[in-house]
Amino acid sequence: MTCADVHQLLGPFVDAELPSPMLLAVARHAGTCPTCDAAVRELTDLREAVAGAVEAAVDGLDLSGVWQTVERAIDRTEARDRRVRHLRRAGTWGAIAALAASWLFLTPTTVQQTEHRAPVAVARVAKRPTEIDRLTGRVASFQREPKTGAPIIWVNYNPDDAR
Amino acid sequence: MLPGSRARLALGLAIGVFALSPPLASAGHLTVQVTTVQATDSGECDPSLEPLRARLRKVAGYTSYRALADERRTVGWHSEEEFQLPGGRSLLLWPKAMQDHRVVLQVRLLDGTRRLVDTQVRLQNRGFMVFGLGRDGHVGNGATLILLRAEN
Repeated sequence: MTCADVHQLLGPFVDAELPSPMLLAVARHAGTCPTCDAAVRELTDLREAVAGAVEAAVDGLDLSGVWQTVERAIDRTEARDRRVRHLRRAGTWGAIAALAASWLFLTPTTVQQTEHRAPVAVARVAKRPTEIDRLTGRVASFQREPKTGAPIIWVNYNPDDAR
Repeated sequence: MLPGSRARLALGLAIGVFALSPPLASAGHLTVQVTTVQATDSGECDPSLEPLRARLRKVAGYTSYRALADERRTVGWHSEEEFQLPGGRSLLLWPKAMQDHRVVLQVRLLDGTRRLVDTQVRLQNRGFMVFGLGRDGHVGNGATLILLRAEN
């Protein structure tokens, strides 16, 4: 693993999106390379600042009605699909006009649904605060607990080895 | 701007930033809890670990979890703390600072005098991390999990 490799993998490394062996390789390199270590810290701090700001904004949102809105939108979409199937069977220009009208009618709901989803996804990213700055030793693999993002370091350990 | 003025401005800014920045290490106490857990595919699960069972199962893959040791201690900043673990192992900690609501810790896991892992983490305040030993058939009878939790 070279500095150039690490710099290409910085983004997914900070987001813990790399496969475990590659995550380890980057962490090991950063542990011995002050330049890459500084780059990792800088990017981590930047993302945390952004995530913190977004999280604060999300905290202020009232999302209590999101799922009801989504369910209503799904119901409408299903109703629209049923109408489309029915109209296709009819095969007339009037059906095409009705389809266009229903699309125009439903478009604002779809946009509203998208706006609600985006901050929720970012908030999930913000809930991964524990970071590994340096990691050396007999590390076999590295993973994160899905719910909290807590790091789990599996050690390549054989108790029968001579101490 | 004259070079001398720039230097004075830079020095003034540096002093100002230093004076206004919060101290790295909080004056508050740091409480560390180290729990050693035996994970197996048979037997009963400790009631104390039942709330964690589903989450542990997702990451470790075992069905039964039994606490072998549990120690909670208030530790000092910038000083070495040693937690003795079952099986002749130990966990050495050096709490360094609080940064952004996280505890900066150097952690070293030893088996006797043999160093298994040496890491520096920024652990979420009241968060935890896990060391796992013995998966992938190294031990053949389950795995040992060492849970480390820190609270400032």
